[in-house]
Amino acid sequence: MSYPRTQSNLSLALAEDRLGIPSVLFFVMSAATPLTVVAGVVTTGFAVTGLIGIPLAFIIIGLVLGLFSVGYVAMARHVVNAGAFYAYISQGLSKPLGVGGSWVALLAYNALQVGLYGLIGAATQPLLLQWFDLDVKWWVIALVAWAIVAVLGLQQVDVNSKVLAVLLVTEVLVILVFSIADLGNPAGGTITFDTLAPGNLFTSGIGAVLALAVLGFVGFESSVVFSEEARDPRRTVPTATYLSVALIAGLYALGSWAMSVAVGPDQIVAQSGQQQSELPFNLAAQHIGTWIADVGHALLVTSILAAMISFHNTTARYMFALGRERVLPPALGRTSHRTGSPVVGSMIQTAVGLAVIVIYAIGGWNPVVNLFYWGGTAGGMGVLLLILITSVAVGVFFARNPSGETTWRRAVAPWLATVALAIVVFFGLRNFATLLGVPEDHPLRWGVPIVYLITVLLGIIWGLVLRSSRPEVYATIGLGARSVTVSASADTEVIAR
Amino acid sequence: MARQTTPGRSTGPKRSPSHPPKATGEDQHGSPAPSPAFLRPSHSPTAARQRDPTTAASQANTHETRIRDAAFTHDIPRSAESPKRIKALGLSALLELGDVVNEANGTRPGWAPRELLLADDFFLAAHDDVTGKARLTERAAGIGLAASLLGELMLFRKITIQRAHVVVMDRRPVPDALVHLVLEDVLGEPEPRPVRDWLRYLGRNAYELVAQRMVREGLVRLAETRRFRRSIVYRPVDLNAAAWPVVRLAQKLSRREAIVLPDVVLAGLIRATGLDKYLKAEAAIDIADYQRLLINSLPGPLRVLVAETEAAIGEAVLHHRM
Repeated sequence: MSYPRTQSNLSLALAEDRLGIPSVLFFVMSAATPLTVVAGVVTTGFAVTGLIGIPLAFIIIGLVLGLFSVGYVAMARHVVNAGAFYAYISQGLSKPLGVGGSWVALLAYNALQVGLYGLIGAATQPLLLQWFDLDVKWWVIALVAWAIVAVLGLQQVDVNSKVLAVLLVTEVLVILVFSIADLGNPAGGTITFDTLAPGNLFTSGIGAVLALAVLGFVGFESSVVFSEEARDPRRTVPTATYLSVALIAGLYALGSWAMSVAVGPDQIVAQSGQQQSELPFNLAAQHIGTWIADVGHALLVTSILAAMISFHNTTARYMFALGRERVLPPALGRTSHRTGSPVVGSMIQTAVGLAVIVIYAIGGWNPVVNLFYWGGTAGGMGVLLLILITSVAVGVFFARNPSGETTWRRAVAPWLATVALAIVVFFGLRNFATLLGVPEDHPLRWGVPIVYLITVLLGIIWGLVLRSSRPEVYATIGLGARSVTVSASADTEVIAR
Repeated sequence: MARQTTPGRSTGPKRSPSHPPKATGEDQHGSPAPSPAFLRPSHSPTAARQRDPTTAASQANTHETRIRDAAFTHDIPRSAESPKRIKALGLSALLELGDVVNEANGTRPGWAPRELLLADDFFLAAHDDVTGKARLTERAAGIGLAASLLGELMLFRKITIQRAHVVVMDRRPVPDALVHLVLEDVLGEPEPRPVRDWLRYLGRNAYELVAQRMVREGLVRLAETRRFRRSIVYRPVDLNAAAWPVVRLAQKLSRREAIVLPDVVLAGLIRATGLDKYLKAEAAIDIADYQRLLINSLPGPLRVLVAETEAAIGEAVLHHRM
């Protein structure tokens, strides 16, 4: 009464440390680690699938994910714990399916993360040989990287966004410079557009190439984590999301197309197979000079490290959120009080990484194709499946709660995206053998999809078990860190009534 | 048990605080009663104070009292545990603290019962008792201290939490300068704001504010460190006093003694911020179950405060802001 104030000091003070578009954009893009994709995913993709439509696939997937993002960012404003696909599934579709989705996500992000150990080994090996004349086995390097990730994961180091931002900007610059040099020195003297021609994408292996392109975008989904802390919830996160999808699509399409121009569309598959992740750097060394190839090389290593840390923390946070909900053991929901890192999840992820490196080292398998590429494509397929289910969840959620969103945002875009994603998933599964580069009767061809199916089913069963045996846990599935407040206030509400 | 004497409670649920006889706790456990001496012996014994029907009656129809009564309906120890079990555990003492709290409410300025200054205890628990080194990240400490300050205001019965929003019950001054400033902040808002917003808002500078209060109280002193670069830390003045909040809690939890309300809130905030480890280290036996039981039996608004704190910490982790 003595303070007839209409202005809220609290709102003003909190607005100060809210995030703007650049912060969110940088966060998403730095998790995308472009050089890893252009040097690692693209070259291996050309080599393994034997298809050259990859540049166009990036553009098409960019459009599909942009469409998906419309409903995705709109729903972020209306749900708790936005940022995890399973939260959307739980709150939009069904809680047991949400549990299934969360387990698929754990598996998929895990595969993506451990796969990178193979790439970092293979990418660092030639560097050490060239610079220090050291011939080191890939798994020794992988173990060093593993130790770095293990320590940084416990320190919760990803907060240092400035370092990531600098890395990101230099990576983007390097890709642009490489691409310009590639385009300036086309094979046979003319710039070709074969790899951007629809005819070379819409072949029998289209699903493989599209699913591969999705892998390049993984990480774009994290923008909505900040929907509660964005300066303008209706503008900041959507704009940052669309921008990041567009930038990723443009950059990867350019980078992969330029490479194909420099090598020649007819040679790109063979050369990618021979030179693997060295291809873009060898091209740059030819066109510009070895120094820039060295810079690019070094950046590739830091880029992979950044990607590993990012996926490591994503997985650890997933486990953390599930532990907080008590869907997984509550111990996972504990943080290291000193650093604030989700310590148990982080250590589990570290243990998985070590096991995989050791198994691959003993088995003597190829670190790039059998670890990085298989892990990446299998993980990417899991994320693609999650995006599809999430898209359905967005449509269903808005059908039940229109929430004042426009028809475009709540119905047209989500359902169009769902159809498009369903097509991508269908062809992706159909051409999965091509994607992996294995014969149709290879155990992984159906093994990977079946593992995801079993995981979803087990998750659903666990969700149903929770519903009957621990309804208080079931009630808060998908709410992440906020689940604890629901159980606490549920009691109070009863009293208040 | 002033609440029982306050008129106008008829709207409240009937199942309410069947306040058990004081002796229950001791009977069950054979351990010494939770010493009332702990609750500031210099003040008059519990019984005489609050039985002032005239005051209560005169306030009965004011708006404020009605709000307060509504809030009191939350003040029932309630949990998933059976009421019988809670009674058996001696939560009578938990209720009893209401008297101390009421006494602090609106009496002479400058008098704030030490037990109610939750933030001091939390601050001490969040630092190494010898070196003064922080046990929590800056962010987590800020959230914990913000929650402690809100907790103090709740213990002073100035605010409560309704539907996860902070609501004012009593706008009269608080006998502690810092907490009063927080109350002024709450009063200054045109409408009730969610607890999570308050935790973020207060969390930005709660650390400095509480530290300065403790400097004034002579609990900590400023000291310089020169490890990497010169910086200022707060070191405990008296090592025993610095270790006391955690040790005291650990002892009481280990002996399964009845525990006064502010200490239960402290135990809740310690769990919510992940400081458990230090509490467990001081405990003689496994205290997790008893701790959980006590926290679950907190009055609704305080339980929500603890849960909101835990959620804020979890969200800081998930939002990459730790």
